[in-house]
Amino acid sequence: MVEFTVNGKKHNFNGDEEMPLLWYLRDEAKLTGTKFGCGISQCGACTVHIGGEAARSCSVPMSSVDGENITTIEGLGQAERMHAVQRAWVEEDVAQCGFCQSGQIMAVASFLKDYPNPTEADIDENHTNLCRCASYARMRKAIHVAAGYLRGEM
Amino acid sequence: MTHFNRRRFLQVTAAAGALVISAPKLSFAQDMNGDDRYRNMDANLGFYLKIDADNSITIGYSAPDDGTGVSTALPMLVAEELDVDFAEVETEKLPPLYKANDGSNPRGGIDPFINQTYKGQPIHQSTGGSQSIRQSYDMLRQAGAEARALLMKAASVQLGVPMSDLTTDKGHVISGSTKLSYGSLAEKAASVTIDFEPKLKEPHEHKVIGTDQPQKVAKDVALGTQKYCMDMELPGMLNAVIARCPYIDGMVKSYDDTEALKVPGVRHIVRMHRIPQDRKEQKYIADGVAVIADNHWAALKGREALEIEWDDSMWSHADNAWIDGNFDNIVKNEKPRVRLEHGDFDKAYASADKTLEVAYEQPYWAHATMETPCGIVDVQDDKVIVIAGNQTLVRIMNDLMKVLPGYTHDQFDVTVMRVGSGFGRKFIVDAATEAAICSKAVGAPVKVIWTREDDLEQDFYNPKGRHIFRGGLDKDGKIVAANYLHCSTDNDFATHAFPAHHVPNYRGEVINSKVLPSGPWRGPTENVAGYAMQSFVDEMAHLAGQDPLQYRIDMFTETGDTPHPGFSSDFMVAERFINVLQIAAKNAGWGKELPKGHGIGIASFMTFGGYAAACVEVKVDGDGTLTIINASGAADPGIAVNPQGCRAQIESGTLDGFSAALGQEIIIEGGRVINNNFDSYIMARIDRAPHKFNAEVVRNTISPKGLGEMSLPPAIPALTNAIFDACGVRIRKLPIADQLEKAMKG
Repeated sequence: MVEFTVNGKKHNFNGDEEMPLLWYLRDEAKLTGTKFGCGISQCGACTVHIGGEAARSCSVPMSSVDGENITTIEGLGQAERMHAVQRAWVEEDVAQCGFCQSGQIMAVASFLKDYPNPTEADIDENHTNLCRCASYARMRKAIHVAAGYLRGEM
Repeated sequence: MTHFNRRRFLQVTAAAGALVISAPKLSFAQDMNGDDRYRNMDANLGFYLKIDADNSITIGYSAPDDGTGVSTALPMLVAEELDVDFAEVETEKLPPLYKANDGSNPRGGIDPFINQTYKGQPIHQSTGGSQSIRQSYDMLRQAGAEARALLMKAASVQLGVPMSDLTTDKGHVISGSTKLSYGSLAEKAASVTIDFEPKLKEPHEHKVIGTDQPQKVAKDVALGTQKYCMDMELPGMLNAVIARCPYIDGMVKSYDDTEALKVPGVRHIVRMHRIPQDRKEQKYIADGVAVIADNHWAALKGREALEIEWDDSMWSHADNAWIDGNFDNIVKNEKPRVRLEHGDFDKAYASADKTLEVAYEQPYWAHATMETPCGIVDVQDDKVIVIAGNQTLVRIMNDLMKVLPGYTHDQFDVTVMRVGSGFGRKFIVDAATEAAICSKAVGAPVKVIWTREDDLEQDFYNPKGRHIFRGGLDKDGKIVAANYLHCSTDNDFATHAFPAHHVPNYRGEVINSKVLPSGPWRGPTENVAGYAMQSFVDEMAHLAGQDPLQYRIDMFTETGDTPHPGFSSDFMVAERFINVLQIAAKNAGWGKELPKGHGIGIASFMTFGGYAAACVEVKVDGDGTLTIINASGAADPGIAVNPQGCRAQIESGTLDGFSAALGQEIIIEGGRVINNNFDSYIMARIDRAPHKFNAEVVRNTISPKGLGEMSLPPAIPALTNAIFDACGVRIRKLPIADQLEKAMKG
């Protein structure tokens, strides 16, 4: 049996441990904010935090999450108290179709821990999630806005 | 009636703590009364509008939103005439409004289902072709104006003053110092009638249209609570994954499901048969085998365990090089169809001062929608429940009807979700059709999810093509002769695009040879014609030794307005084209001195009646490394309903164009698509987006078109023209990929 937490709640899992975390979250835990995009860890639509670090859940087998603390987009912030990255995303009106944006936000929330004052080059090198709508122009602005919030500038 | 839920639509006859009107319902009633489905809309939002006693206002929208922002822009049209504060308005997707085709379809179609009508006009429940705004622009404003008039009439009766003494402001009717909220008037408004057609505002009176509005769904998306088809479930639902024949027009020869059925959670195997059966017709549903399981993962494992022998005989000889060779053959041996001709090209070309013969090539592109195709269907004895994420309601209905004979339109309960990007791909209702076939076969609700490999192998691709130009200049450097031969796997022809009408001796021709299935892809035809035609004009400007921007402006100025029939336009207005060119050029710094290794390029194109231009600055290093430094996009769609949304589409169209040009190419080997995920089908990430980007939408009062597609066609040639300016390498074949590295070495 695999035991772990998702958004602070205890979960345990008895099924096929080869199953990727993504499908546990979506099909079993019914946390559908985490999206399927490619299944091979290329697009980042499935990004969650494991121990506070971004991970692409489509390629994380259940066997490897024992004892881990997992955060999904549903646990990052709430409607009344959004995470800085979520706030920036809303204010900059980043989303188009929106399907990849949970993953984008989770990836950026983790990235900004390592790069609290990111340069454009830091963003280019480290933020590799795919947005099929190519909302990158606003995403770039929103990353800087979110970084400002997290540094306590607003 | 003990419980009042604010989201719940209440008929005016209901005695509840709040009252709701569905004002335009009075107008809809005539059409709807014959149909029980619409007699009581009380479980849903009424037509377009709901006003509660607390003055909260919900505006419905009928077209699905696949990311272009119509779920915000369409309600803005109602809000404008209703005269409410849009920031306070809630929006909600309307339930499907369709009826059985009684032969009254103005298009004369034979489809079983057609859209309901409002005042004889079909209610637009489709998004695509950049049509959502333009097709609903008048209707939705009328709906808002009627509701406002009814509220004013109610106030007039209540206050005993003539309507002419009343005004409105932000959800209130005003009479002198008296201010009545729409909510307080809602009940009475639903019982009065008006005997006039309310006058719509002139553009200069607009208070909502033309203001920047954020997407109403922005917060739901950021919180991860926005639902898409893939996120939905029905009770008792099973999950299907389908092994579809990966070979073009191939079939299942034989299969063994013994091992698949041993996978825990796998419940059923269903043989899927190609639709249509005739393999000479374009595939709609692939031949294959469906694995149906308790969850998606079990279905995936079951699919891996299937043993299938495929019949690959139709196209086993085909690869990308074979298609190119086939283009050589058909150009040599077949007579193209002439689509537009004026003057005498051959004569003018023969006597031209300078000539250029050049070909541009572009590959198949996949849609790769972020949400892969998905559909959920529950075929029951007496009804069919459908959850889909497609661009067109009526196609969902009609395509499912074809595989579910015997069901009538009133037995369908359809929910159309927000679409996880469309780009034309989601016009095709294949996933939901497969779900219907599976559900009928196993007697349970079934969700079909496509993997990314399925999606890239089984797409309806943007056609591969070769664009052959011959052009001649006179002594002044003007183009006096042009011949455009578009050789394509499946395409229409950009018949009237610039510079067709700006060259006195012109012949435009097309020749086709089909291989992969094709379908609409953002800016169909024009997405690649834009690249070819604007590269050609650029090459002619350089051949003439003239500034590429001024060269274009001179051509427009000299020729003036030209015909451009079809797809929502009659004319190409020269002044509007010159305007977007100048805006894009100015915003990207055209004419400024550039550092060594930098170059700037410009292009423009008209798509679905809208004018767009792009200007791009690039840097090409000595080793061929390409950096897009700065880009600007300008577009003139007519009235910009939501300029903030318009700019999003300019940004997106431009960057999507860069993404396609830089890396995207479907590779066929041995009669099948081999690059079937994002490790091999290369799409741009944020590192390919320029750090400087300017999007500008023109503000005017001309009847609106759309903006979903028009910014892509000029983006690609603006980029490739900039590359030429930077390093002298002319990109005559897409994708750009590593061409520059190779060219700079050699």
